[in-house]
Amino acid sequence: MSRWWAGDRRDAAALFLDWTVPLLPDTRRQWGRAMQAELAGLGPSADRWRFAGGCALAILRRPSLGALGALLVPVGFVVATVRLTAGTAYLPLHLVLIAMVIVLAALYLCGDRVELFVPRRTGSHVAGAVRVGGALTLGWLALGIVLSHRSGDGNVVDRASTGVPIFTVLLGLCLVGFLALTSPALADNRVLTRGVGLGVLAAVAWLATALAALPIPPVKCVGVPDPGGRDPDRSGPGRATR
Amino acid sequence: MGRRLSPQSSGVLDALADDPITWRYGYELGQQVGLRAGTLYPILMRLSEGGLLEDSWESDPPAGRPPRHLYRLTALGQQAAAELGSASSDAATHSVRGIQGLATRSAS
Repeated sequence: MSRWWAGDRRDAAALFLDWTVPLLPDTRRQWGRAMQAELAGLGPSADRWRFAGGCALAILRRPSLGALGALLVPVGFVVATVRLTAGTAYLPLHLVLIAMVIVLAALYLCGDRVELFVPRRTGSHVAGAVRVGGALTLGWLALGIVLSHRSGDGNVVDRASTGVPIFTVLLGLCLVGFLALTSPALADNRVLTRGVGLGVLAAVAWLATALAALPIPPVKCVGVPDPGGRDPDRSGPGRATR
Repeated sequence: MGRRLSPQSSGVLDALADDPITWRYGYELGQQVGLRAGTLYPILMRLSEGGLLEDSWESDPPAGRPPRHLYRLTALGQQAAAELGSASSDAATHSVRGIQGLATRSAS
């Protein structure tokens, strides 16, 4: 949710309420603004926390299922990663994998609350589908990275210090791209539909090209004498050329 | 409203019916009826969605504070509050009569 009012009292209780209000269904969103306005007028910290907590309870009684899912899926993703990587022997790798999914989950959650990335609330199924689809795809990729790295085989030091951080940056940038693309501040439905269409077209064209003419020719070994006296073009270890 | 009102909802309706013309805001109303935000706001939402409550935003808030959301009863809400009041007075009358009847029987 964007900060619709920028006042002086942006304390922890106000921030807590700011993060809870987007869970309201769109039809009840004005009640969230009402709660925020009331909170802004309250004085002592204890009162503010009591009020914010009560509001959160009121919101959670009948939340928007979509918004609740958008909150629970990233949180579940982090919890799953913590469990999946519990057996990783090399601690820095364990931590950096968890950090990767925390960064991605936090970026996705910010997408509903940071003004620049707040999704269109009404009449944009395309934007919603692109946003959720993009996030799920990136989540799937991140899950693959977690599963392939958690065993701790191979050069774990390089993986922890370079590999996973690079993946984090790449996936994070892709996610920010999806959020920006589906923000009403930056794109409308027509742009999104064209973007999705062109993306699918490009993928099909690439696949067709790749199947018709393999971009990497088969490897063959030439010019290295075979210790056994056999023809180096036919068999044995040697220099790979293309 | 088709559904029977809870005692808390009736309390909110009563409090709003005390001064049906004045716009009230949530925190003050909660203080008056002794309800916390977690109970009050769902009641206000239900009353509003049932057409018993109209809402508005404060037009001229003091500097440094955002406009509050204000509430008051609609004509339907006032009617519901009046019916609720008469029903509760009927119930009170029945209770008094019942107690008097019991007292009479026990005396005889």
